[in-house]
Amino acid sequence: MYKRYTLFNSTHRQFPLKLLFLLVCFLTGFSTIYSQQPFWREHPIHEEFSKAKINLIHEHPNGMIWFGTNQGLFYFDGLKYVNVPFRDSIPSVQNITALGTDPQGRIWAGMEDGNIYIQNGFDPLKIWKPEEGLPKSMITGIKFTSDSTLWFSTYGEGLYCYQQGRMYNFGTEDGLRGMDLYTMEKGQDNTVWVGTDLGINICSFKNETKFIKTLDSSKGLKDEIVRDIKLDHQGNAWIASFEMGVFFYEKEKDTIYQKIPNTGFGEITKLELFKNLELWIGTVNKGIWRTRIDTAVVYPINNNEDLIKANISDLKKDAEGNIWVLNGSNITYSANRQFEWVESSIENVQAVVEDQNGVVWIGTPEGLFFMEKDDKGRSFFKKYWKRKNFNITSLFEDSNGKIWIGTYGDGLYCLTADRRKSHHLTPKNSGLKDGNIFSIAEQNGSIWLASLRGMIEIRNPEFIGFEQLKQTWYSTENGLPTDYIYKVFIDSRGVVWLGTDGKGLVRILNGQIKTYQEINGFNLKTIYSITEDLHGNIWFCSSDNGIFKFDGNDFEQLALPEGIRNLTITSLITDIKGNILVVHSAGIDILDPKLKHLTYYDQEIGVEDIEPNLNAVCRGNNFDIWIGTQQGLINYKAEQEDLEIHPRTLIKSVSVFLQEKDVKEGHSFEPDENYISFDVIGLWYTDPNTVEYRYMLEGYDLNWKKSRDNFINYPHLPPGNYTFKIQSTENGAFDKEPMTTFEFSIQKPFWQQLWFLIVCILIIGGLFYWYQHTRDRRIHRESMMVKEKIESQFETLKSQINPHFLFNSFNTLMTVIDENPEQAMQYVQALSDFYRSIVQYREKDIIPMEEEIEIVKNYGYLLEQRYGENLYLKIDIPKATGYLVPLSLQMLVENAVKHNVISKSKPLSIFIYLDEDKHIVVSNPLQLKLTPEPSTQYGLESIGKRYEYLTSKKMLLEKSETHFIVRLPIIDGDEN
Amino acid sequence: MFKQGIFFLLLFFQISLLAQQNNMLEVKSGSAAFKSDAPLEMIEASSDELKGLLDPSNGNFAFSINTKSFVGFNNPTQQEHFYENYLETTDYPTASYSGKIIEDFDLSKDGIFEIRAKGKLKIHGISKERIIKCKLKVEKGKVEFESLFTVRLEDHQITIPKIVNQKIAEEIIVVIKGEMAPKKS
Repeated sequence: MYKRYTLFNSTHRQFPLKLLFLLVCFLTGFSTIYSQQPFWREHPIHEEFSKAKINLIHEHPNGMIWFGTNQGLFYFDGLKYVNVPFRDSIPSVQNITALGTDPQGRIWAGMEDGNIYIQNGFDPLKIWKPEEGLPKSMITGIKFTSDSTLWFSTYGEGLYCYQQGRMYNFGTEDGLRGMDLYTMEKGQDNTVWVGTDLGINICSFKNETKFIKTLDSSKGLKDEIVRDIKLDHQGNAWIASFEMGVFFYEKEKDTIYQKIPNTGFGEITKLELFKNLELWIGTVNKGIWRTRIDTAVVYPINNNEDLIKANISDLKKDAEGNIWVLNGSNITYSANRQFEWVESSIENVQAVVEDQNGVVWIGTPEGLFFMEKDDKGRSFFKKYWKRKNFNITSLFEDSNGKIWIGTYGDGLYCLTADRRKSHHLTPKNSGLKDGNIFSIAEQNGSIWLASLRGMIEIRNPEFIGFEQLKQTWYSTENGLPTDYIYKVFIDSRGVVWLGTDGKGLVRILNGQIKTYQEINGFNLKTIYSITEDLHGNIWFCSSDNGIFKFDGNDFEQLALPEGIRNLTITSLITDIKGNILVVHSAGIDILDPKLKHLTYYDQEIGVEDIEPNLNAVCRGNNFDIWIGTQQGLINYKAEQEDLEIHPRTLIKSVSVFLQEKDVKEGHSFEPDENYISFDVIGLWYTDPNTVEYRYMLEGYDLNWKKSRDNFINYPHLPPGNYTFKIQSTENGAFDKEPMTTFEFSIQKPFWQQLWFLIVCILIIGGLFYWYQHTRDRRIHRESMMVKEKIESQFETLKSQINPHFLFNSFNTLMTVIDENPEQAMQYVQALSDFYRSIVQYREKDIIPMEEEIEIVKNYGYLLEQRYGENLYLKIDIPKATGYLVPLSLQMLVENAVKHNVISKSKPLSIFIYLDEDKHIVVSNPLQLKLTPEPSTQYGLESIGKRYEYLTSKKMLLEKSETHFIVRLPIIDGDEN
Repeated sequence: MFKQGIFFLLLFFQISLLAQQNNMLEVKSGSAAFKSDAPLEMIEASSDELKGLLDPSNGNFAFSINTKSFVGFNNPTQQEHFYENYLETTDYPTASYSGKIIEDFDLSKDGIFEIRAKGKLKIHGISKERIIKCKLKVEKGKVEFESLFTVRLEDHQITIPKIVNQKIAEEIIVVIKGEMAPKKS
């Protein structure tokens, strides 16, 4: 039992320290000033711009935070600032005094000199050039209303609006109360509100008509110098006046009244409104002040030296619930406003309760304290019983307003609703079953006490102190699995739930006890805390297994994979919006019970390494939750507007070979642009260092890849269609995080594209056809050639062994034999040579001209012998090169001899010579026989045809009155 | 016609009212030219009959031009259409622009600077509020001015028959040029 006791409250080991602290408290007095202060983080702009002065904050709808400075435009992703350059020349005035985002997501920057620049995506700033020109006075605001109208307010030229490509001016002549506009806010119904030195003008522009409504002293605005305006969702306005504090315009009554008098904050520069919760006030040289909307008590932020006496140039909240503050330096300040430490010297808060009057009571080992307000509206903690020091472990206010105080070993105290009387119940004086009370709850007029000796139900709490205590006792004796109970929780249906030490969850319904110890294969062991969401589900934390949800039938576990980061959870409590706060030593997490998403809060909001006390939490009457820790009290205020709980993932740029490229989603990259990189950012300003990425290139990657690097490379991508998917998480659980995608494709190289294939096939087909065609033609020609050759051989042979030729030859021979046997020998030699040549060359397509000439000479010799001087064959070929069709010259000479008269009176001269055009010419005078020799006309035709097959040049025939000339083309040696 | 007469009287009155004050600047020579760059036909014409007064002490000004004085059309038919169908010069013999210069300016110093005027531009009897940018060149008391602006036909209810609307751009570019000098009183 002793062992269990130390396990439960290990903090008691520091008891001597606490004693010392007690002594200190005693000496310094017991009351302590209370005010809540946010935990500030500072983000200086990098060295290069260390002299920059940041003027204003602008949150882009995509979540990125932009800053206007005297050195141009910057954006900040939580880790670093990036300066946006000017596209053309750097202007002399770079002081940005207004920022706005148009419906297309472009940033518009108004400058001190009246110029306006536009910035698209993450491109450089480009000047805007409307036909009407730009103002020459400082731009103080840029807004876009949903009627496609751009508004910009100036300090000196009144208000401008730009609608349908035309610019219009609202000046004093139109009813504006002044030309110097301090601020502009977007109102309902396409209106803008501008603050002047003489009140507010509500302006709109429709059908080329200016509508101006004025709010000034006649409506109750006693200080008409309006420095800032914040409109709420109902159309009411918070108005920052020059020196009379903050006024409130109530739309319903159309009147203005002073809401927050100037209690020392002086001149206001900016306001920021947290819906139904708080108004923050930025001042000139007096830092930031804040007020709760329900109390209107205003007090300064005093926990950051840089902000205490600062001139606050801008003040804005972001979508995650952070507030951003500028003090005109190169540093921006941010804080998460949801969690704040209550500044007081009280430590080791073991129990806390906010009563129906809004008074916060805290119990520590030193006793009971309550929050009291002084006459200035400030709050401080006061010890309730001056001398009593007792160890308070639980506090509870019942429906009658009584406060029940459970102690460790000293029984139960009860404060009456008027807080004047107290009653003390102990086992000794009232028979209370146990004096160690860890948790108190109420059900139908019964008070339930969780003790070390089981559950005690006090059935007559209204009569405490007057009558005998009526109690029902639940213990191991009548069905409880253990007597050590840490938490009693009564749900909205009146069911009693108990968290036990080591024995799981217990339900008591109509006196019936049911224990849940083994569920889904887990041993629930110790249950420290229990809560209920807005849908009636029970949520509890088990010592080693994380958080469980019980819907009455099934249990669902959330453990490390689901984002639970610490298994020693001390408290669970549901806030007004239904989110569950998970309190543990590593920080505080907000669990969205529907999405089961956990948002972590720790060092960045100043709640890391807290030592929370078991179930030292309570819900206030309003938005507050109070969390007691060893280090003191934490106040949580549930933001009224929905906050971003996921990092917003942006693809800042796409690069090809590490060069940024301006591409839209769906871009088709060239085949050689296959090295694609993505510069991404998961915006989580609450704690930027926790952001991790998970990405996948669909079409390439098979699995998700995790990384902390926000530059993702894909070298050597093959052609194809891809979708780049990226998620970022701040809590390590990716499953519920939204996904950002970028679709693109890489084209196939041209040789893989269809058109190229078709062209290739056509070309190959064409070539093949051409080859086939020419081959066919060649084959045809060759076969014709062979045919011709055979015919020609036949013809030649026929003509040469023509009996007439032989008879003539033999006659000639006979005459010669007698006269000149020598010559006869020569003749026979020539004749046989001639026949040999015919036999030798008839197979060939071409023969060298030289050899052909030899044949003709031989033939000529034979003819000369026969015709004597009557035939004259003159061969005038100085140099015989090239080729001829075999026996072509011989055949021509033969023809000449055959068809012409050869006689003494009419001798025949045959000339063979070359002309200028590479022809060999056979020419003879025309002296036709009267009775023509029978002729097949084959000889000439055959020569002509053979030339046709062999060369493009043609045999030429010239037949005149006097001459017959045949020109045979000389075939070049390489031609065939 | 009666209305136009009244308007003309009023404008005259306005100009003469301005003229009664001292140190007025008066347009000594001024021209207005316009250009309609339509797909089918370009219409260009100009007039040298620009009149106007400027009070440098408060920036009030009034300019007017006789709409019948435009010359330089491509052909007489074009001119006839311009006068009779579009501008209806018999009914609306003047076009005017009067108002106040937005920014502070100083004409006593020589130099070149840009100003913007906010006023009513009246063409074809329809008055529209317009901001018009103008370049000024000041040299020894003389003020040269030059301004380019666009006029949408629709704004001034100048309706173009469907058949010819490809010949006329929906937006006409107008260039005003001239020189001002102190008015001799």
